[in-house]
Amino acid sequence: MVTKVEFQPLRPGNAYAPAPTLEERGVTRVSHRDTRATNRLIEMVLEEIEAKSDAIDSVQIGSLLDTRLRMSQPVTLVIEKDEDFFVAWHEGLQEFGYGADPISAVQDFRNTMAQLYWQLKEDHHRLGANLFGTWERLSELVYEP
Amino acid sequence: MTIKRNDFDRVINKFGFRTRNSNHLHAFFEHDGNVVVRTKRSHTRGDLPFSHAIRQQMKLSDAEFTQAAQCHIDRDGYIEILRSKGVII
Repeated sequence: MVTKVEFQPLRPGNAYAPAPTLEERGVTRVSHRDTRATNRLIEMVLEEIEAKSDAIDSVQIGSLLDTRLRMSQPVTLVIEKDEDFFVAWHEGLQEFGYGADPISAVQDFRNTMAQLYWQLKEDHHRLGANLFGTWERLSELVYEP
Repeated sequence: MTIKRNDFDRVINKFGFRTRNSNHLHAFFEHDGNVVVRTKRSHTRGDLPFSHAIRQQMKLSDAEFTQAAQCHIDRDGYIEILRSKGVII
């Protein structure tokens, strides 16, 4: 039995270009009985997954881990891998969260953003120009219902 | 270049950052009664993840942070750096 297999993007709708087909990689046919070809196919898939796990991606968040706060609009975080950690970074706020996996990093950011809100609110009357700018951006994104 | 946790602690102590402990160690630098810089580090041991963002928050270049960790920059020197970068007017 001959099976035609085509790589699919790991996550539909992400920023990556569609992965090349097997034909584009020089593999036209894979037989269930062809162990070497199957092993090579598995290696290629693993290489692709490994390569993409280190790539930059992004995720939007629309809420924080603080029930006292709401977000007026979602913000986009850049997800990066930094050695043993994943980091969720927001350039405008110059803030980040990290964790052992992307979800933990985003959760840490949602917690950090709430803490940052309360801290800057407490000090908003005596913030330097740079942090006051951060407070203004944060105030546009976060409010107390 | 990554920042070691001990170097981070040495620098913020030398510069006189105010700290607050929660899920991370948050640090705030005040000058003339104003909070002008904030940063944080995790409670993990060894090298701190995303070190370049920590330096960015502290408004220090790689070389400046290294000098600070080696005790070549004190609080006044840090204030001068912040002034030269327009963080303190």
